[in-house]
Amino acid sequence: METSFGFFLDPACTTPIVSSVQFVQAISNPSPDKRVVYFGSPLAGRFAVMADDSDITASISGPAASNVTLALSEADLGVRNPGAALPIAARVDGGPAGVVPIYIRALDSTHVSGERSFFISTAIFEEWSQ
Amino acid sequence: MVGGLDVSSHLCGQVQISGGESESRVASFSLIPQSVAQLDSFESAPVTIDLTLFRPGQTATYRRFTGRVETVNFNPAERLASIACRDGYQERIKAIRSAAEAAALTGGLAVSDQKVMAWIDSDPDPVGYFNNLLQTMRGCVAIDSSGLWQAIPWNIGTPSVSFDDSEIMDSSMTLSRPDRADVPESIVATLNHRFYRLHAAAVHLDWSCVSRYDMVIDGLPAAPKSMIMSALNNASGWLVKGEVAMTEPPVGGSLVQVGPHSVSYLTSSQQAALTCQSFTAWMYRRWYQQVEVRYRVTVATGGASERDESITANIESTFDAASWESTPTAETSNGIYAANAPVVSVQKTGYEGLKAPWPQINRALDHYADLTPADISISVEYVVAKALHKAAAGARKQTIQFERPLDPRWEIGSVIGAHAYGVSGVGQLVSFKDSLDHDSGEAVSQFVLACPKGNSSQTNFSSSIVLPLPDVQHNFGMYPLSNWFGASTRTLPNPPEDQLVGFLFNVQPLSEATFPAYSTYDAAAPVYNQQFRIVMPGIPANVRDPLVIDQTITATINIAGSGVEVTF
Repeated sequence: METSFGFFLDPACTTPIVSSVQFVQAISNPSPDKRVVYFGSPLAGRFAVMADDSDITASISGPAASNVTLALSEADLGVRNPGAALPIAARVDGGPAGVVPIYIRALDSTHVSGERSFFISTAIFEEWSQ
Repeated sequence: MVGGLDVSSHLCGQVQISGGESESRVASFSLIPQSVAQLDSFESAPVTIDLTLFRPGQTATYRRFTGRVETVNFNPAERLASIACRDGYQERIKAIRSAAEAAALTGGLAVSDQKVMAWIDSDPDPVGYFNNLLQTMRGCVAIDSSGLWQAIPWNIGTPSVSFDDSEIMDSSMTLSRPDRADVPESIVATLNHRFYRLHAAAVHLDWSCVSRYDMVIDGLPAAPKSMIMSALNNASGWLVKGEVAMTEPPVGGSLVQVGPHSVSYLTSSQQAALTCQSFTAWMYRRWYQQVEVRYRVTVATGGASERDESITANIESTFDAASWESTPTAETSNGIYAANAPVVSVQKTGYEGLKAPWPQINRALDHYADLTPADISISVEYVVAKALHKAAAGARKQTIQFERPLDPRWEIGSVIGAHAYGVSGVGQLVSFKDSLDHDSGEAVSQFVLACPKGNSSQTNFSSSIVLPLPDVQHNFGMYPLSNWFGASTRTLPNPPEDQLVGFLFNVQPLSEATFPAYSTYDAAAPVYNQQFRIVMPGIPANVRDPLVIDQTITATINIAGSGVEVTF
């Protein structure tokens, strides 16, 4: 089974994220770096669920994980805790209609300039045909 | 005009022109050829017949036939050539080169379904294909008086003209009811769709070895990893999902108290690497089930024949289900890393390597493969359209026939009313016959109107279906994997063989026991063949055997016509 679900840089799910996500912190401009990635599949007719029917959850790891906030909307970035895992949904459908945008805000608490990276991933979910 | 030559002045005897629904228009006439060359030129010559009506101060010319000479019979005694002509109806059908061309000839009034009646490019049968198409048509076809192909809907609205007693020849009016055989009580239209329902199930396995105490007092063996893996891999039809999570016994010594004795149970690192203390695993299986869905509708036609007619079509989803079912896993990328595996955005599930489609575990999905729901809808329309055609054609056997002075204005499909001699009806012209006798001067048109007892001004239908849902939830029960003592006082005298799953082993004889006083050895008890036994659950018949599902077609059928009223 070729898994098609994952994190993508675009809502059409054509460019998968296969390495760490990077952001640059400049000491002179310590404003948060915001971006959106997408969880989904380019293939309609598929869906992703957890084996135990719990929520599929996005989590972050890596050296800069504690400085990264995940949210399902831009407004929620202000209320969620940095480093916390993000429940996406119990089921995510494939195709453009099912794509879930994941809002990311990164701000290094030390404000020390440098390039930092983190990984975004999920626990093991299962992908099935409709 | 015959071959571009006006032969009007040479005509003698009778000129006859007749036509009908979905058939050729034919004409026949006799004339005196002026020369042998002219007689020879008649062969296969193009023919047009125009009729001119004269009234005081007015003339009106109507073309009534366009075709070609079919046969020429010359009587030398009378010097009379009898000529039969036919239009290009049959030739046009034989000239069809594609399904799209055939569909175009029906003017969108037929249902072209390539799944049920496919056009075969390598061996085309245009006549057979078109006749099949005609049976789904809510109308008819004909070539009109000008030689143009026409697709004519079976619609009966406001009549273009109504004839009364004064316009119909005396005693020519006839009302014909449909024959008993023409109208069944009902028509049952059925579409059988065969496809595969794909199932997937998973069962969780969990086993732990006996305690150290039991191992010491009964001299029990440890379960080798290889034995467990062999048992798992040989479970018929079932496959291991991902990797088996095995724990090894702790390396080193552990103290076991046997009565007053303290015994050190030792496990070397080599032994631990080969031995399983406990494991958990998921076993999964997938299989297919043949399903036939019968989409069915019954069209009541109101006949008294005590007979139902049936229309059946079959479509099948083409899918290599055996290959889908038997494909083993190819989890080549599982188990590469022992520790510190790199972070990846998508984790392996253990189902890698399976062929699509993938039904969710413990559920099923209906796989239509090369057919889409739209294809199935078209096939349903096909059988409903065929039922409609049959029902409408039967009802249209109710006809009014009458004659009137030559009237070339009406084509096949014209809506005409007739109200004469106590018979009143509005119908569609289904056939005509014009006769013009040069000897007697008689000029008559004979008309046949179809006056079905319908429910609308249009003949049409609508249909819809609901695809069946694979409402399946598997929950395969399985006896828990356990430890079964053989040759022991703990051994059941008649062990339930179905439940004998897990590790089967035997207690050592007393002569080899370290502490005979504590041993549970029983020489009379059943002795097992040492093994790790796994009996996976079977698939219940209701989700394995071929399944037939009846689904109703929701259809609305309209037949144009208002019937005939008779008064004495």
